[in-house]
Amino acid sequence: MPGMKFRQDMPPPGGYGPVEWAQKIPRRGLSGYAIFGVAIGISSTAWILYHFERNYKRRYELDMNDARIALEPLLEAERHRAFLKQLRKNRDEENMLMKDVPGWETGTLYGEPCYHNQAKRFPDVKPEEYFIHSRWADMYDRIWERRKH
Amino acid sequence: MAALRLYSVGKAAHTVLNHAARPVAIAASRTFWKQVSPPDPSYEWRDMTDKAANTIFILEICKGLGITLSMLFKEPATLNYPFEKGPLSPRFRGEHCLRRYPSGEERCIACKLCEAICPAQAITIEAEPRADGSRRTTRYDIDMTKCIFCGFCQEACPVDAIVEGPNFEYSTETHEELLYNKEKLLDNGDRWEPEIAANLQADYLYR
Amino acid sequence: MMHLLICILINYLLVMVAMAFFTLLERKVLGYIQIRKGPNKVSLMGLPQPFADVIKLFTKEVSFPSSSNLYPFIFSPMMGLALALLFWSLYPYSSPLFFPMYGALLFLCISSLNVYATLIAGWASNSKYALLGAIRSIAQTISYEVSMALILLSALIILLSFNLILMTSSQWSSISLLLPPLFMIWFITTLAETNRTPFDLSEGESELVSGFNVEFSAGSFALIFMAEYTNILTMSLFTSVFFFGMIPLGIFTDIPLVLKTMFFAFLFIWVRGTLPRMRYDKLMNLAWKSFLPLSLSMMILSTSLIIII
Repeated sequence: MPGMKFRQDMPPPGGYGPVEWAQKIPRRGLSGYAIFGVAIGISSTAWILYHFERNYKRRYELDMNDARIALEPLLEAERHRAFLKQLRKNRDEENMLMKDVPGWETGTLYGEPCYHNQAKRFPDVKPEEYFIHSRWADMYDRIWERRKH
Repeated sequence: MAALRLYSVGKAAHTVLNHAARPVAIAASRTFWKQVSPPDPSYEWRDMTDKAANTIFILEICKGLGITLSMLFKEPATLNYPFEKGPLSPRFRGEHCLRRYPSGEERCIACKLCEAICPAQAITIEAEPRADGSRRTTRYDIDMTKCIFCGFCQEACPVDAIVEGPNFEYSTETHEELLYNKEKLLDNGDRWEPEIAANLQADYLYR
Repeated sequence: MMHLLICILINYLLVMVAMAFFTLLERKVLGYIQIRKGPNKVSLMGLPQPFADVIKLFTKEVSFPSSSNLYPFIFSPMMGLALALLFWSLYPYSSPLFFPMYGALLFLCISSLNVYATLIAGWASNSKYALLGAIRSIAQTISYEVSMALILLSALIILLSFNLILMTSSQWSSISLLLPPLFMIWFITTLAETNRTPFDLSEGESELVSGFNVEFSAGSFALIFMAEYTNILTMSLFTSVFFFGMIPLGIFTDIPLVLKTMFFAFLFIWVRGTLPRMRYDKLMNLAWKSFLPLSLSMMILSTSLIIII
């Protein structure tokens, strides 16, 4: 077409703008102050709750401790009683077991006492002897406290 | 206090002396400069708090975790391969075949152009005149373990005898099974002829 | 006696099963994060994939480097797995098998013993690369263990107990809310302790040879990886024990703990899907120049807060 003027393809007047190559991270969400505020708020609330929990636990522990102190004599006496009863049971068992052996005296080896026991009270026996008439496995469970009582 | 005042006097004296010495200094003074390194970060309280929050509560890493979590719920782009297959170009270069004319006569005329051009030297051809006088191959071997699938053989072939078909699932358990001979190649050609013909038809304008 | 043994065996067996499915979870989650499917071919949706892997690995030929110290070489992966399983005897059920008074200390002891498995593995394979890999991963683990112990110390100061079972059964307030930064550095430290991304320098597959386990193959390799994944589960368990309070739900009190553990195990995978590997000097700087001062100051802070409150 003759009427048309030739036009060179050129950059826009003033040149192209700078190429945007860096990543643009839009600022979204809370500001720094707000984040710190929220964090401090949450943790201070938690600390206040923790304070109450610890007070509660302290009182509970105190209560439990009092109860334990009150029960201690009872439990101790009961344990001693069970110990003596078991000793008696052991003696009876041995009497039954060894009644056919001539010259056997219970608690001694043919008249020779196993324990040094001048007061002639009950002997403070070893655990192995205390559990001697029970099953072997039970005995070792108790001795090593493997099983919860 | 006295020490502080002395110090500040000293600082002031330093600048005053510097300015006084400027006209007689030998070194040229800089009148302008351009900062090349990235600009210093802002030291406003707000910006510094933002930065500290970012560092302490690793906000940008949390943002990244959010992006990966969003990817977790996208539809995966996996093709369920043995049951689904991707599209193949008509120019796809797969397993080799030797084609025949519709009459059943094999196309290969034993010109050995493919053997000559093969960059991996995977093709071996021996030829003899047949009883009817036409020149045919007696041996046409391709070592598929040497082949690099460049497609030069099918470019070189004047009669479109050797082509690379669309088949790419021909794995074997031994090396020997991949040393193809003429029977195997002709058999491939018979099996894949419809696809090969369609591919050639689709692409003939550009060859 | 016998029933105790059976209970322990069941415990370990369940941990192994959990670990097996955790490897599957990791592969699936990483797959879906990268917009692809994970393993989905083995029988029903790929669910028995870990068992297929185990069968494959344990039926492979076992090979030893000709100059390796054979007995330590065989022994070290077993030791790693045994130590990793030993953590789980501390698992704080609401009806516990053991009632260890100093569970937190035992946790620290076992986690510091874990280094030796790596050390022996690297040393016994008698190869430069394995030795260097072992040194790399040991240096990392030991560095992070320092700050881990300090973080744990400040947590224990707040919890006022070494007993894991008491922590999970009667501790309502959680440290993750009391001191959020402490929890954050603890989690990052556990990432470094278990040699996970972004701190998995011990197995830089793409940049370095695989690390202390280059010479291992077949069954012993499988044992090393089982130990690693069990450690991840362990660490997420102890994160939820130490840093999250219990939620009283009656007979379901155990369930929130399990859910929290699962969340943290998932977080391990999630972080792996997100972050690239760290440079080694930056890793060391993070341990010694950031986490150590931070954990020390957190210890001072928690002690003073405990005294004030």
